[in-house]
Amino acid sequence: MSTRLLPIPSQLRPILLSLLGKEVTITPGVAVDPSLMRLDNYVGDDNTVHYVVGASKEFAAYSGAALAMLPAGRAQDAIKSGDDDMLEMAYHEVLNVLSRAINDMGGAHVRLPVGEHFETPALDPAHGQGYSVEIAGYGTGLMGIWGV
Amino acid sequence: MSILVVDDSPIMRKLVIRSLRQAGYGDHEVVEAEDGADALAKIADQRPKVVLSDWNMPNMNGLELIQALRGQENLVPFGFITSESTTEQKSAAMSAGASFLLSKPFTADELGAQLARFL
Repeated sequence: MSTRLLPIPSQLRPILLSLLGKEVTITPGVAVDPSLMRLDNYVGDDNTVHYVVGASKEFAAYSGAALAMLPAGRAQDAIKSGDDDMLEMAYHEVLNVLSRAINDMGGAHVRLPVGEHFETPALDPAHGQGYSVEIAGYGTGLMGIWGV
Repeated sequence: MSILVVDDSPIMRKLVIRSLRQAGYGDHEVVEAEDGADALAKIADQRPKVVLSDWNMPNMNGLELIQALRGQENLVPFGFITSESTTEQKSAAMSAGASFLLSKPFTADELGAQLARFL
């Protein structure tokens, strides 16, 4: 059973606000289905997966576009086509920086793996949190974080 | 060349360069490197005045980069711009000889305040 702490909106919002340069509204307690999300791992210094982050197509595209200062229309095109390398790179950086929210909680240090592959473990809904994230000028998407 | 920006993310390199302009360093030449190994070669070739480096990168990470530089007795001012923010990692950065560690996300003012010590 995971005992890992999960970040609350007041820990996530300032990071996204500063990173994206856009007003961000985060609502916790939203039901999310990881099977419908893109999933990425945060690993600890012991090289095991400590957290899994899920993103809807909308959250990945809108946050990536905001970071890369690309227009919302490009994000909407990517949501439909699922194919935009620039937005993919940008979302990867959003994920990288969001690891700070977890590290700032004072638990075991985690990182977004670079050039390494880790299998995403089975997720326990009881140890996850779903968030709705609205990025001003872009739109609203869903994010989930699960402790492993 | 004045400033070397090292990050495996082209987008983050662009954001750092934009912050350099906003901080008043737009007239400095900026060269980009995509990882520590690339940076090491460019530092030897072009002798930058300051290195701004990410921490987590493939091939050679930022900590390995500064350790390699200091091992060569290269004392170029070196700052980390990274999502790493723990006390342990700040301590490791400073012990290796880094001048500062800015945690992402950062502001242009924060970057400018650090660079004013060297440029």
